[in-house]
Amino acid sequence: MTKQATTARRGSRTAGRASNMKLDRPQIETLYATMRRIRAFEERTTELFHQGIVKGTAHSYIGEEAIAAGVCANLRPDDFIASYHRGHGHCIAKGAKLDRMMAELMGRETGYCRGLGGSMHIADMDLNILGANGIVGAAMPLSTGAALASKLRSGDQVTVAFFGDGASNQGVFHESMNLASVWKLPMLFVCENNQYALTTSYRNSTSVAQIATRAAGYEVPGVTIDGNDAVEVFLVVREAVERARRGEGPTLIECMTYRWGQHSMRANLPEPRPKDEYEAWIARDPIVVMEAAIDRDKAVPKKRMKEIGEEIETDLDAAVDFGQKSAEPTPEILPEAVYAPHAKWEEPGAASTKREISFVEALNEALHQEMGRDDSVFMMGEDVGATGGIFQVSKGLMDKYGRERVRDTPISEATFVGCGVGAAIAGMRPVVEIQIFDFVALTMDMLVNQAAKFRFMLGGKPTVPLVIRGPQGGGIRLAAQHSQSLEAWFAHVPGLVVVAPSTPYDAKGLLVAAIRDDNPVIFLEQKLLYLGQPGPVPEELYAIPLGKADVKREGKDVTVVATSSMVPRALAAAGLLEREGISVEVVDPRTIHPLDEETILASVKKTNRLVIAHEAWRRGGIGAEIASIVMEKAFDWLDAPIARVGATDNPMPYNDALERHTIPSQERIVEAIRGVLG
Amino acid sequence: MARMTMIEAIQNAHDLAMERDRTVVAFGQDVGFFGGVFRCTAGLQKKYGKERCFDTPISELGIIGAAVGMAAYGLKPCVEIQFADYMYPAYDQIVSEAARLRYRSAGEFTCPLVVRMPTGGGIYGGQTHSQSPEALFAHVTGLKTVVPSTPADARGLLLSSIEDPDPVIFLEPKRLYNGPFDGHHDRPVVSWKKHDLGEVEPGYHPVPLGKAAIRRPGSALTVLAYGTMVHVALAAAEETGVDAEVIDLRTLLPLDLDTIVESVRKTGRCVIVHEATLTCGYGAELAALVQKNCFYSLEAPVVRVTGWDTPYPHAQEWDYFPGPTRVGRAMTQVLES
Ligand SMILES: Cc1ncc(C[n+]2csc(CCOP(=O)(O)OP(=O)(O)O)c2C)c(N)n1
Ligand SMILES: [Mg+2]
Repeated sequence: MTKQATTARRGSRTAGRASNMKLDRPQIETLYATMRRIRAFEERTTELFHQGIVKGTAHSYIGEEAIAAGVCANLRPDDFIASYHRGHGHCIAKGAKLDRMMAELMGRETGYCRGLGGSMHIADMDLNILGANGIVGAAMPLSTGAALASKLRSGDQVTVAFFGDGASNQGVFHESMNLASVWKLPMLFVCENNQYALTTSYRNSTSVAQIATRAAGYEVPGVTIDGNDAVEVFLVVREAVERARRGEGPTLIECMTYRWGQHSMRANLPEPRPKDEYEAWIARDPIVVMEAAIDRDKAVPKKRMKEIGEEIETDLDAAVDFGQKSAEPTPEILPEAVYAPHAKWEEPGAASTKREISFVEALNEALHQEMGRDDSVFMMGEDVGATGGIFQVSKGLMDKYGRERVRDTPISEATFVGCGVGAAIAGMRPVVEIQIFDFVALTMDMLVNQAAKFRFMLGGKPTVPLVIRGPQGGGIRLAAQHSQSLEAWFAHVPGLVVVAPSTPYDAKGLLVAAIRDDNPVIFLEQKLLYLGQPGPVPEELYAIPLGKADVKREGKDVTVVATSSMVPRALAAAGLLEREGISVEVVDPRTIHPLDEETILASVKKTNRLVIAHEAWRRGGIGAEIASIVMEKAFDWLDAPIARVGATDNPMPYNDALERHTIPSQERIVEAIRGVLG
Repeated sequence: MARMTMIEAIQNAHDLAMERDRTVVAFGQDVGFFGGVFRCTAGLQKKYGKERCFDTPISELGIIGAAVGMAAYGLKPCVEIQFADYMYPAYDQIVSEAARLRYRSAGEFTCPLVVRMPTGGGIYGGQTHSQSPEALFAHVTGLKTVVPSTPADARGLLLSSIEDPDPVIFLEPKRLYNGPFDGHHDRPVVSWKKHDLGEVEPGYHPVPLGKAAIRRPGSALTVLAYGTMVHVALAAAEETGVDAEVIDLRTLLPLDLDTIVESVRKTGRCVIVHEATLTCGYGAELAALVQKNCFYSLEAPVVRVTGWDTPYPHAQEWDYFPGPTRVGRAMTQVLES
């Protein structure tokens, strides 16, 4: 296949032909046995589902076995695969153990994900199986990340993304194809075109006759093949895998196939598929196709064929037994499954130095020093390379660390964030810049359903050491889609760490801590702080512990808990009120999640009054959470209702005066303080 | 009076709205030919044709994006996201486009759009088929957020949502589709058809947005709940014998603060229940508002009973779910403190 060879071709469709059986016997046996194993596993799972032993739902792979078998027979144990809801077959073909799979489907502690994932998230990190996925299309961005990780480490692993015909209509399919092509990632896109997405025919919902032709738009080779012929799949994939290993980039392989059953085991839907179409495909059972060819070529003795069947039955009986005898997990395992532990750093304190630099310079220094210290740290984002990022946070990094480690991305937020998630899972420490944080809305699936849950879904073992950072908030007249403060969204999602520094000192130490943390960290840089005064920052490398607040000013009459850009304003308010004899304590949580409740509660128990100030909208903001916690835990200490100061309830206006009106001012904080004292 | 399931009531709301108003269109994945995976749009394509009720590719971003454009130019799209968990690929279109359109154009364009999505767990759906993301919408200026708890409300609120000139996120607790599930997962759910709360008066009867309903008057404490948790709270009151006033918020935004404040000022105690995770959940906003507005009437801290701060676990689904036992315990605790 040449780079330009993008014309799709139809695979052979002749029943019982099983193309070109000139494979050696072990290969033939493997393909055949794998298909049988998958079939038997799915049949047994269906029975267990109907007996109520497997719950929720599961999507049977019966009818499509030739694809997983043919693809995975070309892969090494250290190659990556990422799959989708119809994922059992891929796991089995990649070598996963039936007993641990069964245990997972039964929700048991001994399952691959300790019963936390189930069928839709089944995975085995030891075999670099990044898991089935409940979100259609999501495997593709994650796969670009695993592929990038092996490229950055100069490895020759390949990554295979499996997905259905339906997924080829998601934006991330197109973004991932583009990214993989531009970066020549060692990847295969394997589309299992079973011609329906749930009940919708792909012909009614897809703009092209064959999905493989979409490859042309990305200068990627694309072929359509017979997905019911394991040998054809094996041979075509072999070529594509070799190509990827040679560093020549991705290939899209569309395998035409058909699922035999309903969309899922749970589904009980009227059948949208015409009877004659259905019957024609059932007649082309991939296992029968292969058996006919084996028989014709006398490739495997009859006795051996029979043994294969018996071995599988024995394994399956043992697997079911193993699952049923295994214990259920207990809730105690959950907290650790959500977050990897945070390191405990000793911070030097801002008073330890006289050198002053700006907020942006502090961030930049953190990146320079961390990239110098640890090869697995790399950066990507829009214009972060030669330009150094539109706010210059990554200035000079590309010159020093090269284009491979400081990567300009296409404008595909969902996919380059997903790429970061995949690379983090595969062992790198990506720092991804969102040019303006409002664009993060485009990446929410990658953050909420992928990054935040990955460790949990896989039973609490893997880590996702990823930093998503960028500027948020208003103050520079960028209006409604470039000025939001969004920390509350992330604080509501278990699995994410949320950091929001307010001084150059905190910015550097917290960014270092974020990079070294084994969890996905949302690192929020308030634009107003980019414009702020320089502050003291030690030159040496240091990290500030996550989850530790800082009392920015001590006082005794009232506590103000202020975040990021509201810290300087709260301090100014405190200064002003001091002249009237009002003593204000300003607490800066620094990390929004985990939140240092202890410091906040201690302060409120001292002052008995609380004002909370943040730049985000007041309604549903992090202030609501802080107020609730304080009310629950310091109820008897409170002498007045807690006041919250936040943005007014409107998108950010462009007009200068109205923007100032929207963002909480020093005056509004003063007013709120007087209110709670009053 | 007829009785309907919540699914039938939602289907009926579509039917009534589409019958009255030719600009109402319904679409989404498997919505047309098939009538939706939960059957909420059954029969509409047959009755109103493929132009007004149709299937889309699996592209949530595309579904909402197209709907915003249609809404701006005079249609009233009522679209389905198959599970709330799948709305994330479309989140930007909801927040940056739908919620901003009126504001950005100084009212020249409006976005009369309804986005329906089933929420909540309890069907062994694991992390990506069980979420309750209401807080992510309720924090966004420009959106309205609605959560019905009975068939009559589902129909009436959906009619109002479709009529509304602004974008409405309409969250359907999937455990309530067939009956008033009260958290007792080990017992069969009574069908709406056999339950008084399943009564739906025939005809076009919108229920106004922004008006809470007191589902059980009481004097000992106030429970704020919505969706499935309304029925859980009622069961908990019944089982503990606590004379709770159970308020069903029905719409989170606009919020009926008056009803809440009046009740808490009367009872002096408040329990908030939701299925979503605790931290920064909508309960935080409610608790903050209650303490602000009822500070001098409160006799005990406001307590939140919620899902855990974890993804929805596959295996411990019923531990995560704030069922009647947990809610009952919180009620007793608040009474004693
Ligand atoms: C983002 C997202 N949207 C919708 C769904 C619901 N859903 C699950 S599978 C499916 C059909 C997928 O079709 P396809 O990609 O062709 O895979 P197949 O099931 O045919 O193997 C749909 C719509 C989902 N899981 N995720
Ligand atoms: Mg399909």
